[in-house]
Amino acid sequence: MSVWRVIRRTWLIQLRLRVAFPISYFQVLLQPLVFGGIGLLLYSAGGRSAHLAFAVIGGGLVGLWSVTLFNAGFDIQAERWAGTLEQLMGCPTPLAAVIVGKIASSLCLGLASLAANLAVGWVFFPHLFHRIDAIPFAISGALTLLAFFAISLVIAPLFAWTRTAGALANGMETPAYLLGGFMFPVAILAGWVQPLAGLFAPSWTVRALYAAAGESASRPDYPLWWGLGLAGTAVYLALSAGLFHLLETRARRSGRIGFA
Amino acid sequence: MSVAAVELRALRKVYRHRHGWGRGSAETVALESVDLDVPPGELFGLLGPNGAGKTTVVKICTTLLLPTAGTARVLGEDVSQAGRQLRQRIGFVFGGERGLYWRLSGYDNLRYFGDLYRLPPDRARRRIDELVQLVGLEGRIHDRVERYSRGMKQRLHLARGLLHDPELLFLDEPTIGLDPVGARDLRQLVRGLADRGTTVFLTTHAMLEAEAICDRIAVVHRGRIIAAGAPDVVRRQGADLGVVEFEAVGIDDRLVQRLRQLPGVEAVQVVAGELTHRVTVQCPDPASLVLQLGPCLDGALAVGLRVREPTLEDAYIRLVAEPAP
Amino acid sequence: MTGLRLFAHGCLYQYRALFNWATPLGYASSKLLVPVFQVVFFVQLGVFATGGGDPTYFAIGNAMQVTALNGIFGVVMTVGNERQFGTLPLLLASPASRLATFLGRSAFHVVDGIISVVIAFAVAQLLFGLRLAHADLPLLAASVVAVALSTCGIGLLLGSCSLVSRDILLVANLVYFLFLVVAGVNFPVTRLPGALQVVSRGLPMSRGIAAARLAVAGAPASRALPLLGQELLVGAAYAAAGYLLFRVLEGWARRGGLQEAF
Ligand SMILES: Nc1ncnc2c1ncn2[C@@H]1O[C@H](COP(=O)(O)OP(=O)(O)OP(=O)(O)O)[C@@H](O)[C@H]1O
Ligand SMILES: [Mg+2]
Repeated sequence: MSVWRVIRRTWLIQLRLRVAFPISYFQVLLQPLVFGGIGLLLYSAGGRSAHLAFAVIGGGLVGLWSVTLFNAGFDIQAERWAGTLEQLMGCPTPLAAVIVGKIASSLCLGLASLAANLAVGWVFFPHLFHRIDAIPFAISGALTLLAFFAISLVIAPLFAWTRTAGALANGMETPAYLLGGFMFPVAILAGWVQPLAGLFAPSWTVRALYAAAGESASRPDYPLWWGLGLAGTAVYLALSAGLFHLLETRARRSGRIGFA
Repeated sequence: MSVAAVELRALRKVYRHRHGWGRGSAETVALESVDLDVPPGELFGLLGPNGAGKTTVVKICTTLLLPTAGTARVLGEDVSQAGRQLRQRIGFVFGGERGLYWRLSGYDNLRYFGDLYRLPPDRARRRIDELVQLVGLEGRIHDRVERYSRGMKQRLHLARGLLHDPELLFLDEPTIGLDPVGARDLRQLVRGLADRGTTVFLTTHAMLEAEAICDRIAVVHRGRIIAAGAPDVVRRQGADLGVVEFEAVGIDDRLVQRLRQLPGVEAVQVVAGELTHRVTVQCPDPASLVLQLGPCLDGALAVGLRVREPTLEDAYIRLVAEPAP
Repeated sequence: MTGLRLFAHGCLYQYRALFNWATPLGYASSKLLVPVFQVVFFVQLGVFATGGGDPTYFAIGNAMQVTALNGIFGVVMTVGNERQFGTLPLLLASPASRLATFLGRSAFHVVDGIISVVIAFAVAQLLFGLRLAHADLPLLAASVVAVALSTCGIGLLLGSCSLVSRDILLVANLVYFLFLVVAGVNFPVTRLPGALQVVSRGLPMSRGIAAARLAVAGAPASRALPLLGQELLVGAAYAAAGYLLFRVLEGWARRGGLQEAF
């Protein structure tokens, strides 16, 4: 009950703060537009204009991922810099509740990014949207969001762990575009990359998403893809719980909660 | 019988820090072995110089830090095992300006911490109004914290620490960085809290502060308690000594060293003033020390010499003085 | 002479600051992961999207664009950090040569940027087998150096701007992404709408990348060299603007006008 209140309030406050912070607009609007634009120019150059969905939806996915990744990476770090991490650790509400609220707010921004990209796409390429199979598309979208949420919950304590949060965040941005198949099918990647992509839960839900938008080489196997995506998400959540626990014990042992 | 608010037994804390990749590690013994009892209802002051281990004690008691050995029981619960329930019953305020959300208003800060301390919204609202009055932030509570002065932030911190009506409040150097007036106001606030039944555990390195408001104090030095009791009692630990005090010009380290080595001298303190240094020497027989001063000062000029009874500050200085080599 | 030492010192400080800030792991990840994955991602995207285009084309463009990471973010962060840590007023108050201090700050990033490109090329060669048989390697190297220098030029301007505006990292981000679109990294500049072509001409990088493509194709140096000259000129223009701004801001700071910026 009270945990929900904390999550809701954190979500609200963070949303308000992020909306007041220009970098969020940049990530939300410009980055997806740039990637979407590059995608459009490339896909329309060759004989592949049938696959424009990869540009229109892909730009949005790139934006969603970047917003989630960067915010999650800095969520705990920001509390540390503000000196509030100690207060959070010392209060009766679990730190994870606060982080869940913060992640929910960045997912909302990410969603706005996806929506903006889709809206632009819809104006210029309405035919892409006629092909969409609405129900599997919506379910796959929701599961993708859920997977991103779970990954964020892993990233947040992980980045608080190392002092190299920023560099790692930078380093993890593009690999996800590749492994998740955000802008082209994972199948075109080298064989040895495939198992890696398989471990990245969003690759399954994104595959389903594109299949529902008419971009699938084979007959879509939604239950399998959704199931694998969900299984990955569950693993991430368990991993996150463990990491939060470890973070707290280590902080209590080393006394370095308040230190950068 | 009531449980002790704080009960520390042979409490030990060793910090380990790694220097970086493959560069080994080092240890700092912050608490050697600390025994301490604070009964409920008391305003207790933990005194000590920089690095003595005050903050470490407070962090262990507030569940932010795990002890290396020994036990710490707070409100009857062992802090190593205790979690949420204990945190709900204690409050803590660390001195300084950090630890608030600067981009939110003071009110939003309090409301958010009210949520974190699981207060039902309507109770939180009433409590916030009360506390804002108490700490005197009425006019400014809806301003963003970044526009607060240091003293206002400190008072907001105090309100934050009191939101959930803790049985026991920890204050780590609550007056740090405040001007004398601000510090006095804050002390009065804290005294008032204690008078109304909250147990308060505060740390400070300012002797006067402890003397002014604490029921009982303990002095921690190099991770050990070296004196404890009512301020009077601690002061009397130096009662067998007298104090010789004078202003001097031309004091240097060598001279201070010589003073320290005079027979019977227990502690020497030198405080730099604008033109002169104020030198305080503690010893059992001030009269004979005065006679030895002349040759010892060796050309340095001493004025305003007087002999007086030790204060609590003198007692403290003697307690934490470097042992003579 | 003092100027030279200061220059060297600036470099060293840079290097150390980077290493302290990001531990070896962090440095390696930003040094390796970012360039490598950017190249791999765009090569894969480009080849798939164009239905079997030439990987060499995308590899060259993106490997060169990687210098923008150093030239822009590196240089801007250097100045920005100084502001954050409050050392800038000290620097401004010191009698050291302004120009040497200023350039010293970027020299490290020029070298670091070149290393990044070399890594990116090596990885592209390994994974996609670049066709470098006809390549004029000295000319290619010259292109890399030219682009590393010219992006630092724009970085210096942004760095100076960051002394007065807190949001300059945003602009840095914008420029970084602009390069991806307008500098002929993934498709020829001529495919852009007219307005963006103008932007492209006003920014560094596009000519350097064009020269690198010529070098790889084995075209005669006489065609690439003018491009490189223009590339360096554009970079120098930005650097000069940055230096001027730095001096102007310094004057303000002296008169106390910049107080609130620090
Ligand atoms: N996180 C930490 N890691 C390593 N050493 C630490 C850490 N925190 C404190 N120390 C060391 O432990 C000792 C006690 O520190 P502590 O902060 O408890 O002292 P203090 O009495 O609060 O001092 P001050 O009056 O300066 O606040 C010091 O030597 C300090 O350097
Ligand atoms: Mg302390």
